[in-house]
Amino acid sequence: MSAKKPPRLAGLGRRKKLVVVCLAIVCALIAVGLYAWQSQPVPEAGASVTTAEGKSRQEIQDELDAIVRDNMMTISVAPVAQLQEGGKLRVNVQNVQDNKFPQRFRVIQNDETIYESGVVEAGKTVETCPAGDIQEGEAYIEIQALDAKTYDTHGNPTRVKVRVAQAEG
Amino acid sequence: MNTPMNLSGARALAVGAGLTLALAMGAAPTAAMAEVRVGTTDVTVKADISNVSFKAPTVIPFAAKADGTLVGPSDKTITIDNLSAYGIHVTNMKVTAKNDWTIVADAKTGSAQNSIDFKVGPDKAEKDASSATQTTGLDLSKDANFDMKYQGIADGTDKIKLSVSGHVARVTRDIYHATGTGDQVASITWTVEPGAHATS
Repeated sequence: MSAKKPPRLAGLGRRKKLVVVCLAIVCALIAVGLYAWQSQPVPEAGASVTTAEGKSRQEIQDELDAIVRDNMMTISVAPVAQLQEGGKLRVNVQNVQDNKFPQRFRVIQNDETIYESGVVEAGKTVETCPAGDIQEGEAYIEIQALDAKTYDTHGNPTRVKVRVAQAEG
Repeated sequence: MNTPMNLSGARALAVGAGLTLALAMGAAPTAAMAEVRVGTTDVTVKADISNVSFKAPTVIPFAAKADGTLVGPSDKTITIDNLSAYGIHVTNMKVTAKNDWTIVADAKTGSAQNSIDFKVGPDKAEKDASSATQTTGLDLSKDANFDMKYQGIADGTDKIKLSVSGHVARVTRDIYHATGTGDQVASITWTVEPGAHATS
């Protein structure tokens, strides 16, 4: 019996080696891509700081401007929150279609949270929420952007000062 | 995209019709009215329950130079834009420190590690972040610099452009971050109210 592989089997071995080498190259490219992606200077949230070594002021500012542009968010709520029948409060919180972030909102009066919403995806509107113990007068609707994948808080919240009033007849 | 309240289209037509009616009443009084006096009709307008809308930045990123000077985004980019048919106003700014950072009036003085000072606000009206760290934030309700007029006004005052500047000192935190992202220093909560600044 010969120890040599038949020519057909030897060819198969070369093909296997070629496949393994190709897979290794693909994996390496993916790893480099992931590293480059993760190295983008995207801030964690809110006011953040990173380093600026080796870049001109204009280069730094261009990068920061791009980050800000990517993180603008439209806020849209009713300026008068109407108390309606059935214990509802009309807040009309719209997370407009163009927004990149889901939102969560709180209704606050006298530093107490009256209501906290679930996730409001872009393009969705929450017209009413439970009024709870809210009274006529001053209140706030606080809008918080959320990470689109994890729904963790993202960036600074923004409050809108609203007036709570009884719905007209 | 949300369509902000404006006076175009059907509503403008309604207001126009109201004005036309008022003018007609003044111009062509009935005989009975003409004998007594010309009647007048007040035409008024107030914001209805349509939404107040504006666009604001969710992040304000800084980059730290080796000497501790912070570089921020340009004020053309970092803006709060009014998208409503009536004026709005920033009434409060509240800053909360994050991740062991200490927000101070001047980071170069003192001894606290991870000290940062920064200012943010319209040009020549920047507000010191350290003065906005108290529980009640910084009251801006009487500051006309934080007014935004109606959307689309010709002189561009429907937005406020935010200038930012500052310094860091004695930084022990890894501001490179493991993933190359920035390190969160603070959270800034803006409070916005329909209408202009308070005058009294």
